[in-house]
Amino acid sequence: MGWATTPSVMVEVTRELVAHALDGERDALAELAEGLLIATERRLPGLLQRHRGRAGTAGATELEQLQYDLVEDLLYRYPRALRRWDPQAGLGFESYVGLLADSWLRRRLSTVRGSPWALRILGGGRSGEAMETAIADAPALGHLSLEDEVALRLALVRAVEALEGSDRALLLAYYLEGRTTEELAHELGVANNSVHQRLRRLRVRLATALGSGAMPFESEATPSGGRSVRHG
Amino acid sequence: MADTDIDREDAEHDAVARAAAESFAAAHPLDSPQPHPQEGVIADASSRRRALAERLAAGPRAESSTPLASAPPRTTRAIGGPALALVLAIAAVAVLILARPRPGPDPSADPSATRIPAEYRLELGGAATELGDADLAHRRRGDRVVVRATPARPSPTPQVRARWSDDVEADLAVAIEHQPGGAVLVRLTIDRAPGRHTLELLIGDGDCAWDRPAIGCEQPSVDVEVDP
Repeated sequence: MGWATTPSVMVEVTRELVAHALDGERDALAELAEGLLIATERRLPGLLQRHRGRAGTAGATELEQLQYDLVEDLLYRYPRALRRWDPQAGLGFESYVGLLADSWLRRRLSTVRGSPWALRILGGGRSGEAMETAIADAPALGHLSLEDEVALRLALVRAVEALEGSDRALLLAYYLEGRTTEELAHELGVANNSVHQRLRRLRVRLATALGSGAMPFESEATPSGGRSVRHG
Repeated sequence: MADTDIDREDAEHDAVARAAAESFAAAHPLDSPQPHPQEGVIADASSRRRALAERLAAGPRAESSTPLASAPPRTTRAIGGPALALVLAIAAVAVLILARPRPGPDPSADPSATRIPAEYRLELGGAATELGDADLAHRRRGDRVVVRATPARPSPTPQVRARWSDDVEADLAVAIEHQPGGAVLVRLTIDRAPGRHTLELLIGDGDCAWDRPAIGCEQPSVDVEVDP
């Protein structure tokens, strides 16, 4: 059955292919697995590097093992997450797999603490203490299922995509590149306070978008919060 | 809205914004595209990948999870939009801060002495939220304060800094003692003139900076009343 157009190494993954594959059709499953391998091959090194704090890279063997585990988990543990992919919602297959891979990697890093294998792949040439820190630094998203987490993050991606280009650039520079407000203010030629205000408005806008019904979930009682603290 | 509520809201919004930026980067990688391999490498990678795909299609490994065909439906929690920001914030930066003074002089102090600087203990973290806020009232210059802090995120050697809110340029000299379980004992000496002062702490990993919200960094504060 020809699910894919395969000029050289390309596999075209469609919703139909995903559905047939997850319904157990062997050929479709092999095509989907190959599509996942291609997508994760591109995404996993960058994601892993980011989670490890840009400290070195994993060896090829470890990376391949990690990639295999990821694709196997996506196919056999989290098929619902794959089924939820809808290109009409705005994300292509590879981008969606990027979100899945990132969420999966966070969970993997936060649950394998102490595992020699994890230490090897995460540690690079760093000391034991630094490796432990790298693992502990992998943020977890609490008790959300992976499927729900990805749906949540998809909504966040859409919210960021909806921002003006300059606002998006500011958000990414601050949160991903670790630039300070002082640096950004200097670069933009504005007062530091202006950058603070813009970031604050962006935060409110994103939180509002998240809570304004953009989420594909039903309502549930808000968990009770803890005591207040300023996060510096 | 109370200040504390505003603070909490800011922290939640910050967690959401950070999660949004990270999610965007995961979906749309900002780094350069993968290197373009040579033709021969493509063929090798393609055949290797095809072999892996066939192996994967044959089913999960024995130690892996439920086979595809018989996988039971997963129970997923339905989570409401308004709750999600809080869930994210709670998951990412859930911290309970408690300020609890233990009034009274150090038991080891000699009561006959004119006055020996007392040591007071301030607890940060832990689950005793019912105790509420408490200030360090009626302290004196020279008193020692011990802060026991439990960072929200585990770190082998969490860093702690301290400063007075009316002198934010200078970090206080603190003695730090790491304890099992990630807690930190911080000892510092009250060096303020009589009056009301706010002691600020910065707790977290090495990437924490004053007045810059970040996941994993906490900036609790407590008021200290220094008597003449």
